[in-house]
Amino acid sequence: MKKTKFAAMLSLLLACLMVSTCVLSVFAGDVSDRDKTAQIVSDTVKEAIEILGDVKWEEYSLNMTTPNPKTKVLDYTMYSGAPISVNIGSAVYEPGVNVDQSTLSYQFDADANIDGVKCVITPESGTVTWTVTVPEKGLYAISLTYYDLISKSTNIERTLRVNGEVPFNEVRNLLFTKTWADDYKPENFADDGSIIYDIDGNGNERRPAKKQTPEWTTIDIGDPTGYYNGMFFFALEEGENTISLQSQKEPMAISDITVKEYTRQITYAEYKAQIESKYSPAPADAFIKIEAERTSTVSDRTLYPINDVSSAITSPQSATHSVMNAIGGESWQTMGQWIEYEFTVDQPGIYQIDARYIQQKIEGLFVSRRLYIDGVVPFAEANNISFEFDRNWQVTTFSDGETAFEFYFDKGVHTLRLEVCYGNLGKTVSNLRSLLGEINNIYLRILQIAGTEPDANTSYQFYSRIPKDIKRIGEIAKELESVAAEIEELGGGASSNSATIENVARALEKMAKNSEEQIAKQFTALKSHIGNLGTLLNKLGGQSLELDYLVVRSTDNTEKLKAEGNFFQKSWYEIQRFVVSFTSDNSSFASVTEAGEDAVKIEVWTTVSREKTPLIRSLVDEDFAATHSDISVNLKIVAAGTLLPATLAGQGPDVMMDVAQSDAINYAVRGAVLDVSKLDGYDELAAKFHYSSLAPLTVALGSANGPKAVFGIPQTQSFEVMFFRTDVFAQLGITVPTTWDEFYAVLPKLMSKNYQIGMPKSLSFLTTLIYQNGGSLYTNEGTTISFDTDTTLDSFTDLCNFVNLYSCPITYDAANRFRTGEMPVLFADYITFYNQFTVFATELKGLWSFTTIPGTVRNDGTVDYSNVSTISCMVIMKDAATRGTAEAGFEFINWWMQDDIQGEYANELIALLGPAGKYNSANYNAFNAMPWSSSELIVLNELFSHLKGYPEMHGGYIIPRYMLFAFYATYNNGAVPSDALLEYVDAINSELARKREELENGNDTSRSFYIPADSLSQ
Amino acid sequence: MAENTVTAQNVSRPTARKDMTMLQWTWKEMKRNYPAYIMCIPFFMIFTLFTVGPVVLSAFFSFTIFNMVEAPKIVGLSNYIRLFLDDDIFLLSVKNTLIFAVVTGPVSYFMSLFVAWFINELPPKIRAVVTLIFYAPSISGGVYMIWGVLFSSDSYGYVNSILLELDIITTPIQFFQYEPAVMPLCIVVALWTSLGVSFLAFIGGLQTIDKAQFEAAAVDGIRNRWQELWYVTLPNMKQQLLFGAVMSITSSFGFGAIVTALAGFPSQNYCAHTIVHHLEDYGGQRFEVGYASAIAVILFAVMIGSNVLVNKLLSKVGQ
Repeated sequence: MKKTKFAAMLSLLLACLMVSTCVLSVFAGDVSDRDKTAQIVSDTVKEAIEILGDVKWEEYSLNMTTPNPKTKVLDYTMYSGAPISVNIGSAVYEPGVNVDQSTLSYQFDADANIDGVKCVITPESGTVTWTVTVPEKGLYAISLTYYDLISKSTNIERTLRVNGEVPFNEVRNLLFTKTWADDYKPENFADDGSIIYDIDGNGNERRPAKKQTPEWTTIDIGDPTGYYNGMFFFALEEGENTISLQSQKEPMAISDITVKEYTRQITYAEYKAQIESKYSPAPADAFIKIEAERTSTVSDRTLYPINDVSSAITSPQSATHSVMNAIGGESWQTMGQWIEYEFTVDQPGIYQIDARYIQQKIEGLFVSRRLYIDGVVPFAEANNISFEFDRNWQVTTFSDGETAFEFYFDKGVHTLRLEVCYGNLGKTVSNLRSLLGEINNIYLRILQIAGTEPDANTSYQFYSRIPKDIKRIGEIAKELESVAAEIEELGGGASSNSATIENVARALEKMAKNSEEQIAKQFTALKSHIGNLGTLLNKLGGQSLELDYLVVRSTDNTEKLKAEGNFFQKSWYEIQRFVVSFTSDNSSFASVTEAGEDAVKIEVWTTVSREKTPLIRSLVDEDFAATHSDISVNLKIVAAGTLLPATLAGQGPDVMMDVAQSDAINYAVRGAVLDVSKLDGYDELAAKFHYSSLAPLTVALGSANGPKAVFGIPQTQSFEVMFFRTDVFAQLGITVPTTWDEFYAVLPKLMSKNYQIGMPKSLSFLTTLIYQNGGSLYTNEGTTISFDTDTTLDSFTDLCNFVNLYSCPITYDAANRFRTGEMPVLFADYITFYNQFTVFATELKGLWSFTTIPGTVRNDGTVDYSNVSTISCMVIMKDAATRGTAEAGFEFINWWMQDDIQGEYANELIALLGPAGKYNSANYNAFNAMPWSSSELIVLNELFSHLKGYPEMHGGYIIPRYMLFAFYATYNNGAVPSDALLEYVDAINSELARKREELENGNDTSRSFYIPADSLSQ
Repeated sequence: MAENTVTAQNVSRPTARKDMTMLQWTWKEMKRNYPAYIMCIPFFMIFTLFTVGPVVLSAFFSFTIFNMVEAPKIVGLSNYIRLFLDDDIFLLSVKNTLIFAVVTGPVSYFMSLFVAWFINELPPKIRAVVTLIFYAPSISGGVYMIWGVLFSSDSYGYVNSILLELDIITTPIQFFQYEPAVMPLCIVVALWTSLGVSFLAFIGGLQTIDKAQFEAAAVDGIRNRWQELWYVTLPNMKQQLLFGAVMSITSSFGFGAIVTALAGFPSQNYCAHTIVHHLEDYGGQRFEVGYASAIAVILFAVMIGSNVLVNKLLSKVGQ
């Protein structure tokens, strides 16, 4: 097969990589972190090579169950016999490369004991391997019992290898969910067992906190991606085999691994025959209602009760306040997420299950859930419980579309679990996904020949250069059409979903019509088609469903559940809501607890979105109020421009959050902001930050050596990193550059294949280059600009050359081009792009990564990786000092920026926003508590160590303006970069001088800001 | 009419107009018409508070240095001196504003007038539809952003893509950063959105003209449609013409939002920097409200001046 060819290529590439890694390590200045990062980068590229060579489960299972074409017999037969337990204590641990074992949250332990269960603890990095002896060569299923050790709020992820190889792609990222439960206090339980939720200051119910409640779970290893139902089988050789789990994320304990016979799930017909022969229907009055928000356990922190206001009869409902009455929605849509309920059956018998739900995400189709009763899927059809699309609430009985399912429950407590899966859509989506992958590859191959804008009149010789691909285009078009037909059939008619696919099919059909010209003509459109298909896949992957309640009832109980209230119920509800809307104030988040008379009241303003503010509020209530009973906090959301007029009117806050660094200095130089460095506890707090985040807020007064003042405390920090597509680098066999010299060596290789580089043109990027070359942005203590120094002019020339010499595009849609692969290297803000791309292109998981931006090799051989960061901060207004609330305000800031509070806030954000909610705290220590993988943390650590502050001086707004003027002059008019920049030096300097003169205040140095002399050396 | 005369006769006037001073007479008339004044009060309060007040206030601030955080310091005429003698960019922005105003003002004015005139000839149902089509760009706020898509600097932008395909250019043109292109583009977009309120007023004006006048004019010997326009139509709609002129002057001088939306702020090398931009720059970015006020005062004066001028011109219509 093509596997051999691939192996050859692979080994060649590995050799290249190893050589280059060695070369790199010679270059590297500071050894450890740098080397680790380089190692991680090359590992990700290696992994991409592996991923590209992976077979899919479908192909694997087909290969294994069809006779070998040469020998005409099956290579492997299905094992049938007793389960074989693996000796769990025989685990061998191989630590992850370059991971400092002491930083792990759990250490490897082959002989651990949790709750009296003997088990192996596998940490969040490294590989654990077991040996299992099987009596015969054959196909085996694997089941595993694990325990989710308390750690970060993200799923456990492992790569499964059998005899050192990943047998098929689906087990590369095996997910093991954790178990979370609502954290109720005794007073939350009413006498009848229902829940009384906590109430916030506005009388609204607050969602309960979540806590991890680890437990032992036994699973058969199956598809984590939700396409296939049932368990997987694996080919094992006679005698000794190894099974290894390579950690991707999070620690877990394993108490048992068993290889066993592969069994199919029974069908509903079989199940029904079993129960009907033995049991009779439950009495007609049996009716158990389970409020959906009242979960027993869930798989994610994000699955918390929500408030539904769309229906008058959602239970319970209140028009005047927000009540917890539903669950799910956007937060319950990712494969493998589950919600579990507990209910007690008094009268044994045969039951049916109903649900009241709303599904308005996937138009014209359904979303699916897999149903577990008491921990097992009772029959195969229970994998595909469908919830149809409608803009309104609906009531459904769990069924296969025609007959309602019947279940037997005996007397006692039962569990019912609904897990997100693709259900009947699985095969279609899986097909679509692999077709998209193929189209993308063909796109890139055409791109390599013809560039982004092929000319219809040029002969590119596609037919002789990529004959197979061209032939395949026609086939893909046909396959896409059949996928569209399947979707139409499933959805019961044509929809926007099938139309999207048909459009792509038509474009491909044209391309396949034996004409070079058509390929060139359709090519640009193909790119947007790829984007559309990817978006469609993402949409189908988001199986979001909102549940109001579940009912377990007797099959004889025919009482009709209502999907929606009657006209009067609806009207009365809406009228009430309308009236209440005049009185409820949603911008103020007042404290719940009444502070005492002598408490200092401080007002804190924030500009974060209104969904995030309650998180801050509840942290304040739960933690700050407990530790600082003498301070009462009033939190308000305001629009960004409010601070200035409010301060002018003397109505400003005590503490303002989310202030841009330039604003902080601008307000400070006009005497509106307090110098925090004089306050008690500043030094301990400042020690938590990398100096780069304090640098923009720190100024020297009077002269560069004058006393220092600090106008704010950093809150978030952002900086640019280099994102790269590992698969493109792997395919081209080039290493990811770590210095600009290497970067320039790689550029022509990428360009010759028509790839583009996404370079920034911002002043902060120019400043990065200036720092790397040993210069600074300002000269003369911050009073003049460095645009007339050689270092800056050289750096600016480099920046312009990327565009003018290397044709990097100036304007581009980064996410889309990175997704199609035409822009495999991209410099972008680490948090924004990471968050965006994680959810935007889920199909590319594992095929992209980020690292430091290239460094500059200095004359002495060391490499300077300096990178400029910008921050947002919290400031204390000067009015607070006159009001006597400055100390209390600082206490608040000090508390907010502590490691645990920042970590908690970051986790809550992820709980609220999902994987796109990663937060860029300026407190680096808090990162350890956030759900980054261990290798990402190492890279981030390395990145942080090179950060430099972007200095902020009054009048600084003029610099980016003129820098961009000069930049465009070189592009538009072909001006020489250094000439173009020099032209603006006088204009910038005179503006800086003018501003300084305007704001300086005679002999009072408190308004004379200079850049501290030691700022760059720190 | 009859009632009015009766009331007038019943009012006793102890002294004649010529016996009173101007002030006395005004006061007397005000007392007589007091219900009208009472009805005006709400409007005048709001007008004074939110329109006259700020104008006066900014005239005051223009003689000060004021950073919006601290109390203003009076510095006399220094803002104006700096504005005229030491601010090249202000002069540039005056130049740009005049170009914009001279091109877009009259062109959009006459475009509105003639389009209204043509449309007025259509049957009523079609007229309603066509009016909506012409008026649509100016009511749908940010719709000029589609020009941003059309002329996107990305190589996938429509115009760039076509030019690249035809091999006219090899690298995408940064339309909104390319100095020679910015001004013309913004002017075109401004004209496209300019068929606004004045256009509607013109259509309204055209429809109120008494048909009998055209017949009379025909009898009096009007020879063609142009004469009819000049001697009958336009003099009949002088009020609308004046209204349209004021609107188009203020909008062409206050022109800025479109440039900011398309070319960014500030535009490349200040090539499309208008007085309004200059004002925003100092008021919003540099926190120099005193200086920004001085700019605003100048802009105010220029607008008043051109309104007077246009008034004079319009009085010549039909003569």
